[in-house]
Amino acid sequence: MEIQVKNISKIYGTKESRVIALDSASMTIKEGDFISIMGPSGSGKSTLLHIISGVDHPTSGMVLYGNTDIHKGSDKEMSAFRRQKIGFIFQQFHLLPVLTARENIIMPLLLDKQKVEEDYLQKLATLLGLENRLSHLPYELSGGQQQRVAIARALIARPDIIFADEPTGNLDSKSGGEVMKMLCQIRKQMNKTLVVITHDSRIAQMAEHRFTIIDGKLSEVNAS
Amino acid sequence: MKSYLSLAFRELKAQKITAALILAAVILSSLMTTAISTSLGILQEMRIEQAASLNGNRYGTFHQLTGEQAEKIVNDPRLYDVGVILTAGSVALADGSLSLFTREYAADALEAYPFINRLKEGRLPEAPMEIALPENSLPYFGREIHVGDTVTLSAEISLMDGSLPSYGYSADFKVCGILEANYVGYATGTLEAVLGQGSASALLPESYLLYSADFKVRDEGRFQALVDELAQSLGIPEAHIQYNWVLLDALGISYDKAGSSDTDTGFSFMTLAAGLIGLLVLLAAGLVIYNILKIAVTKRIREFGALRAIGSERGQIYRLVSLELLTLCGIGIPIGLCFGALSAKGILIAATGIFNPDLFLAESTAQLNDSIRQTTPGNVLPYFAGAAVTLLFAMLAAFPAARYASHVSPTLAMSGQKVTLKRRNRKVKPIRNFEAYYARLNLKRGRGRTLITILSLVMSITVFVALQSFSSLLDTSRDVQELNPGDYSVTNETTGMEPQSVEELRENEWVERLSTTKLSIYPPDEQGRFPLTLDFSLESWEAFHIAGIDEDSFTSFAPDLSEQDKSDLRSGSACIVKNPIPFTYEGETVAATTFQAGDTLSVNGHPLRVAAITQGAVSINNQGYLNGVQIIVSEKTYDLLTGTDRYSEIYPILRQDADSALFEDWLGEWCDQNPGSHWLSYRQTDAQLVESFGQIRMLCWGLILLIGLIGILNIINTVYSNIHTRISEIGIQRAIGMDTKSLYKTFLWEGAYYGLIASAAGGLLGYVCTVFINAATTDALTLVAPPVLSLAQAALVSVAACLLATVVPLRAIARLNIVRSIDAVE
Repeated sequence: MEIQVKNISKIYGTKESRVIALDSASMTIKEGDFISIMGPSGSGKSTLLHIISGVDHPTSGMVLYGNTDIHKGSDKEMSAFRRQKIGFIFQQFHLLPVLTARENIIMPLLLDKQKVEEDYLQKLATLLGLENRLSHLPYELSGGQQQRVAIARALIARPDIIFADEPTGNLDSKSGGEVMKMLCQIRKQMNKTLVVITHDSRIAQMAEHRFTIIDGKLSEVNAS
Repeated sequence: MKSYLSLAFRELKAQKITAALILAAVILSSLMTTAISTSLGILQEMRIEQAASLNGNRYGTFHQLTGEQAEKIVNDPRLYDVGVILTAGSVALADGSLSLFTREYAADALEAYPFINRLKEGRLPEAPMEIALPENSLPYFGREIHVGDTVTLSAEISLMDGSLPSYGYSADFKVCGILEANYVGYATGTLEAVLGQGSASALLPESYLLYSADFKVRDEGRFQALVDELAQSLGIPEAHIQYNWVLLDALGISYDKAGSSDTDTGFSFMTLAAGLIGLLVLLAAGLVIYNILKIAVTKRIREFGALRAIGSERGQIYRLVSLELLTLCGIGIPIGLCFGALSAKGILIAATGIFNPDLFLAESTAQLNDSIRQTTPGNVLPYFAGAAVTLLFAMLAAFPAARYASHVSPTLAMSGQKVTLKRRNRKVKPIRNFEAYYARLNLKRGRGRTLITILSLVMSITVFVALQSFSSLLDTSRDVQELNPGDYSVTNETTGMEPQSVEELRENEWVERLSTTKLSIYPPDEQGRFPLTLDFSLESWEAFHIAGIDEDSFTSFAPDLSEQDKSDLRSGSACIVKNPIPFTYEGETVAATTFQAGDTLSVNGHPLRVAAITQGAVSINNQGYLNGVQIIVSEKTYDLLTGTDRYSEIYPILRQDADSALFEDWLGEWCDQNPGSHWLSYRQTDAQLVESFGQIRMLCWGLILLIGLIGILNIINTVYSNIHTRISEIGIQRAIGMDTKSLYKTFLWEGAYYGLIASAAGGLLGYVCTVFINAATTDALTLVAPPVLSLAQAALVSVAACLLATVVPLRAIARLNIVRSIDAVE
């Protein structure tokens, strides 16, 4: 499914305190693409990701999934859309501390009242090296393992697209490298669209299409 | 894990302290609602039992009935528990201080008076001329009396309307039983002896054989209408209808001649007040739940944000938070109900166990408990109501927190942004006390939480203060107690008591104060003349009384006297008048002298303005009123009008720490030195009545304790949360040099501010409640003296609780490693 981002702007505050976080950003994400968006802190990259993934609304512009403007849906429709079409990976993992790794992974299915496909869950666990960690609580896992659990959670509902917001930002370079390697491997194996936000140029260069964002202005690198 | 809702249970397990605090709030509120609803039933039942025992288990009595009238009343289907009594006369005991009434009780009539029918030994009379004497009458016979003895009694009987002269006789009676002593009768100076059926007809002429019929009505809503209908159809004059106002008030049955001020507002107001207090309690408990849940949700806001980001709907988050509370309610409410039932039962047992069951128509405490338990309406209803109300309030309290969680923006929750604090006042002033200053700033940083905590505490204090005033409303015994003008009465009907002797009594070390009465009664001579010069004429049957009373007692006869009236009464230019009691003879109302307020009369050439008309009359020695006109004046005026300064009756009131045995010895000697004087003690009666009020106070204290716990729970939660959400901040403060003492001071100041602000607001609100409760009792909205003791107690306990709640968690934090404290940010 193709995603078209058309003239997205996001403005916070009014008058003197008015801040333009995103300024008419446009891009097209094709099925199976691996896209990286790079920019310094406060440049608007997370805001862009939140808007494209439907967790935040733009001040103006639209995001089309196929022919559907996702921001015109109700909260219920938006929630269902996020559950079924999108996988999210956060910088700070955001695992639920009271749930085991397995329970954290299957949470999107539970929210969607779907049955857990044990084979698929095991496959993901194997791919991510979590076979022996499924019964652990988040605090019993290392940072890299926690992020791998978050990746499995993002993939469990078989979404079309994965959004990763600085997935290695909270990891050391070794763990970060391993996580990215796995993410790329899974994307290829499962043919997922992957959008990664990062300020790490090495990660950005792994992507097929690279975008930069500076002061809210989005531009593609080496677009030709 | 089959459903996302399982997360709720995991969260509860993980957040043990939060869960425990909410659980405690739920348990306390359900305990409270159950205890209140069950106690209300018990309280009302005890009040009725107490009222019935004080004045008979009857709604009213028709007096001076013929046999035919009595029979019609017995057979009237609208009435029940009709008891017919025939008075054979009264015997003067203790120089006339006590009247021993001898009565026959037909069928079950005696059952309405359990304090009369309880035998100490022997049996109740079965045959004519048999008598059962009360134990406390025995010392007045001048010899030891035993069952089987014969006693000679000189009795006298008068008719209420005075249509016949009093009839006296002397007769021998066989003592078949001794009745247990009951001092409640002392309040009216009467003792009751039970005669065997047929005694009165053997002793009295037929014209004196008049019956009294106690009754209850089936349709309580039509009580007055039924009484009026019966009186009209049977030709019973109004003066012959006696309303048992103590019981009627307790039952909330309305009647025309209200004998108690809270007749109309009494129990309905009590229910309203109890409801109000219950509501305040629930609000306080609701605020606790709201506060704790809100804090718990705020702490987990990132989790909710993540859930929203991965696709959870608002409704799902709402259900998650609600399920957490429902789970706690599911655990807490049954526990609360059990504790509520136990506490209500405990309060009942404790209250009745230490008090005399005599006061409640019961032979033993067990019987009293059974009686109350059986008659307390709706045994299941209080529990159902307690559960339902707690659940409702808990869910209402959870709603804002659940809504907050479900509406959280995923981006905001996940961004890790700190809460922005606003400070309006940023003036640079010298800081005299940093800890206090910092504490004040901290109070402002979570205004909502501060407000909720203070509000919850305010409610607890308000309830505490209001309950103290409210408890006095439940005291039926107070009405009867007020009948006694003092702890003792000292009477001299013959020569009177000399002023210097009375002064001697007044100056006794045990005596706190004295009420005094002087009374002269002038019956007309055969020519209808009086030994006084009056500028008005009286009817031939009317006597003329002059009563002199102490100035403090004027308002007990005429409560609405103006300052001018009081001044005129003191100066001797005014009087209060008691007009003759109207009566009918052969169906016609007999003409009587009638004065009205504002009239002027003259006695021995001394002009007196009638300042007020009173319904009560001054009498001594518990004697009746010799029908006629009575003028009530100051003692000095009395001396002037009568030419005598001697006292007829005085009522000493002892200091609280007085040794009554020593005083009574002294008083006996005093009476010996003042011939004709004799004394009677009301202290035992008062003590018994005070005791009955004690159990009502105890129930209220039970409620106060629970309410206090709810308030304290909220303080603990807030302080705990305040400290635990600022661990990192505390670490930073300590890292830059704040010592433990200073840290303690800061948080203790916060606790103290909570307590002080809540005490001030709660005290004010409690005082307002006290004013309204007083208004309901007196029917007039007036400012009353602030209940200083209650307010001080509430303030002290509140501040102490706040400080205690602060110290405990702070100790743990102060010991925490500084680096670990700072790292606790995430």
